[in-house]
Amino acid sequence: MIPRSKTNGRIEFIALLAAFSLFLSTVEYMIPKPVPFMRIGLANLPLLIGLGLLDSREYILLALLKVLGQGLVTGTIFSYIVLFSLGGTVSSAFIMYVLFRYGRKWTSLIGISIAGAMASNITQLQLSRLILFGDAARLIAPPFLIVGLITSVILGVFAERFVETSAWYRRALEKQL
Amino acid sequence: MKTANIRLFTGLIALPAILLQDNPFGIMLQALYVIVLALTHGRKFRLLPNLILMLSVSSAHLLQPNGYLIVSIGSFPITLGALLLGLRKAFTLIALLYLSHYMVTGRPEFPGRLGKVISLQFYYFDKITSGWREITPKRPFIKAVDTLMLNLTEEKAASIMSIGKDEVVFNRRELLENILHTVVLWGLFLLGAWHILPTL
Repeated sequence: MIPRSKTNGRIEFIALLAAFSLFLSTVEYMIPKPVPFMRIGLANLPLLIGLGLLDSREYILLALLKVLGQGLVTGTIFSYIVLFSLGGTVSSAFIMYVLFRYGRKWTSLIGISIAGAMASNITQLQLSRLILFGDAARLIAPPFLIVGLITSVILGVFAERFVETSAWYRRALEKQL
Repeated sequence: MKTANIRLFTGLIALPAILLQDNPFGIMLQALYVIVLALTHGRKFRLLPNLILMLSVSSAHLLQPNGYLIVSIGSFPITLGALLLGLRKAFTLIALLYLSHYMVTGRPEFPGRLGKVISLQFYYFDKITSGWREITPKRPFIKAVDTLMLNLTEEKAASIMSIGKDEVVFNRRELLENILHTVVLWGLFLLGAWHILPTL
């Protein structure tokens, strides 16, 4: 059984990553976008960094906290927007976690980031077909997926560099071992 | 109960009145009501995203013709049924968005262990926001983020148990106001359901 103090320490660590995600989402909120639901996905950076630091339950908690925190800060927690956020985050977290655990040998964080973004975007497109646009959702699919591809490559490169050079990441990894 | 939690519960009770509304005029009034509610409680109204949402949802619904033909643009028919359906959907989404804005004014506290973790997340969020301001230089970005995370990890966070202790404050006026909001939103739903409001 894990001692309670250690559990609290892990929860604090997850809360820190979730807070970092929240911080990045507020940074992203300030960047003007041509269409409201088009996102860069900066807030996914802690999810990419967390892949090597968290077990599956902790990772699910981080993904949930990301959605809830963003919903609370932007005030959208009880609106349709949170459905998009939840769908996108859960699907991308699932794909990224599976790829990291079972395909790390063949995939870099850039590849994982692209897979996560595509999973998130496809889920959100399906949701927008169901909730907002009906079959007309296919019209927004090409620009949505292209923007997702470009931003996920940038995010993946950033995550890869961060994991390689960060003293904080190294220390967190050492604590785990 | 905290004031913020009264708003949260009011929103939860009023949610079905908006979701079940099928009168376009009724949903328009409900949307206006919750927008004013959110605005009077410190939230901002941004016209452009709402306009884009309304235009995009309405025009997407026009692709499936339904009901009375208003006008044809070339071979493209603009039908009343499709237009009203799109507008109703857009107003529902806008109403839900601003109701949600209202519900979280004052940061409600969620119960249980998850609630405590969310409080801890906001504790760190405040630390990150203030810590980021103090970090100089902010370039290279990776180095700055690394320094920020190192500083935060070294700080001993307050115990999970001590964060998010709910202050029991009973505000009678707030409660009465929120009962009124609930009555208005449900009243508009009933007026729509009983066909007392015009159907456009």
